[in-house]
Amino acid sequence: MAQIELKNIWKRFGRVVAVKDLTLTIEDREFLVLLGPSGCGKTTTLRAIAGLETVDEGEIFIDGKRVNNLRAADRDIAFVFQLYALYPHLSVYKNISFPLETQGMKKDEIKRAVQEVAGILKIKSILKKKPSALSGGDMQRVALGRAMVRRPKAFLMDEPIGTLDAKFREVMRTELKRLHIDIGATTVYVTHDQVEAMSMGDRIAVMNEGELKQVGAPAEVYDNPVNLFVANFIGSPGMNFIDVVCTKSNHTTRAVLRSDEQICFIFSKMVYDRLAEKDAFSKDLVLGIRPEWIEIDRKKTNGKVGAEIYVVEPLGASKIIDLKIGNDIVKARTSADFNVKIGDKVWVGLNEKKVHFFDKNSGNAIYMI
Amino acid sequence: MANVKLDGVTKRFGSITAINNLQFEIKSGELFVLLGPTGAGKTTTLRCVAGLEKQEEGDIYIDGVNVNRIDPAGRDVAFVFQYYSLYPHYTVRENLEFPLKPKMRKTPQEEIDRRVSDVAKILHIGHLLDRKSDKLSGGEMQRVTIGRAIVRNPKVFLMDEPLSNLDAKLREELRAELKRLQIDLGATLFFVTHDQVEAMTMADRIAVLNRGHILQMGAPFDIYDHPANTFVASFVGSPAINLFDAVLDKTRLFVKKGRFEQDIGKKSLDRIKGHQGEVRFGIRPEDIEIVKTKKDGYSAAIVYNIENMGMEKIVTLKIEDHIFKAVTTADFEADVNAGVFVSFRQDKLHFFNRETHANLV
Repeated sequence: MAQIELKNIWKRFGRVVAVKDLTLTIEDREFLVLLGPSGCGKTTTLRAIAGLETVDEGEIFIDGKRVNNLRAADRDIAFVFQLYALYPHLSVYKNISFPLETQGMKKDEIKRAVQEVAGILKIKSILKKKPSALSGGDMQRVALGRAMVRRPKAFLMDEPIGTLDAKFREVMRTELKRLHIDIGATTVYVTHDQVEAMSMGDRIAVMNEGELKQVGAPAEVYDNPVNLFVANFIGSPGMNFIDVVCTKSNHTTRAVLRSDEQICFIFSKMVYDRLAEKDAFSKDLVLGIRPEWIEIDRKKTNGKVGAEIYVVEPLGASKIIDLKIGNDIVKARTSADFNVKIGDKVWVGLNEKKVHFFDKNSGNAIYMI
Repeated sequence: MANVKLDGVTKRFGSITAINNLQFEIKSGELFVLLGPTGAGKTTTLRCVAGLEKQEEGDIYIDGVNVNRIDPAGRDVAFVFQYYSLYPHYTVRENLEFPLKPKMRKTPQEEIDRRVSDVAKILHIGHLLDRKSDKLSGGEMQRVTIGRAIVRNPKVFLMDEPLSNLDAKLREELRAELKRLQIDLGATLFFVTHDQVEAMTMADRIAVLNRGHILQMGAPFDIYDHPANTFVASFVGSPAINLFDAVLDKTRLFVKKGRFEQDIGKKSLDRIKGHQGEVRFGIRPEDIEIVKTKKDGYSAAIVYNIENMGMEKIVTLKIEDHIFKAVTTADFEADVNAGVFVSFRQDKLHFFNRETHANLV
């Protein structure tokens, strides 16, 4: 297995800049997720690592070796597009041995390699079966086996479970993660689904419009997003944003809504001090709060702000309540038995320790919480 | 807005029965979701209501009128497909106008302009009216597609997985908007999806469909809290419910010959009318408690995997061959392969018949 280094990568398609000055190191044995919306450059980046695209500027190193001028076939990585590209006329054994046979390996060596991989993936019992007789999960293991048997330096996976039924995707997430724990292969995994990224990544590299927005462990990008894009993209639902103006008043901080100056959230002096420290008052501020840190009260409470129930979205284990505060709509997460209906008036407070502030113009977070 | 009734509808394709004797009614102004896995028959059902397929047996009523012999154009339904089907060389405005143009519907131009502008406002696409539709983002295209359906003011909206082609984030955003839109318009919306989150968050009522049969129909929480069988129980809820084969002896539940056991309490036993012997029981991930040190009534387990989802963690646990998932608060810490102790909330146990898979309550 190996470390993959990307240094100042640029890739253009005509006038479109698909990847802008990307620098990223994927550690040996790490499961790194490239996450972002359609068109953000994540697949282009993956293909550049694979050698399926050349880069216009920058360098790519695999296991310390500069690979810019190496063909894809010589980079010793396994690209897993769709996990269902098995040879339907061949048995599981033959599907896995095929890459080795084409390399001219000796028969007993091939047998040993296939058995080893089959053991790790727990597919020894299905070696004689044909793909049509396999479950989806087994097919996926076989596809992985075919990639693994060549002992590549790394696995590159491009949205491999995106087309599966929602339920099956859930099952495969755990399987792939557990396989990674058992095998420890350096893996770069591309997806637009942040649930997948959070669930599987050791670290997540969030991209948008060709740029790397933040890279960090799931907890890090969730608890301390460094800009508006990451804050909204990670989390389901994403972080809520409210344009505010902050002022100090005695020992409190007042965050007044730009959309309705009658409404303001009250925080302790500590918030004001932290904003002042970063010279935040010269900037247009955006207040950010995740749905689970919004407190809803049915009766009027001091310090809480009036809101109207706009939409109720039951999830089963919890509920998402869309609230209208002034002219802003925010989503709160509540327990499943929190009963309100559209039009109800409630009182809302924000957990001060979990409130974020961002510079509206640069999009950057003012301070880490 | 109209109501829709399916009375004994069966549709076959050669020897395959795609939908079998469907019987249900969608109330006027209701957001009704048909939920099921790929191949269950959801799209076939929708297409029969639209008149794009003809059923072999049964009757379909829209607003009390039997529409069996009425072709799609005459049924006054608007169908929104999975893939946006806009006219790429037309502007957004022209796309929205198209269904109303004098040639097709004989609507005066003033009326057309008014409807287009109303719809654009509702869907937040007013600023895009003069843009060519091939210059729109995925989300914008989907809004225009929905707008084109609304502008016709149909009796019923039929939507076939309209959000499944969009990025996860966009899906989340449009879900609530579509729900709110449906409420504001008072529209009858018949919505089909394989995504249970979509069904749960949007539906007034859900009908769970599998292999052409309806397994259960009810409000989201009804289906979630009181699943009629193991299929419904597993299909709704994420992560999925954990199911185990067990034997019930008085109030003691033994899983696979005593590898672990749990007391279910007298109330649970009463709920299932004193059933004893073989049973299949289910517990949802959020109803499992995990502790680090042994407590009375808790069973030993190994941590198999941990997924940090941000606002909570999904902990996959292993007891012998049994692998199951629990949901914990975000601050739960444990190493993979560490030993912990688990217990299932007595009031949240679901019991199913081992053979028929039906709920025992």
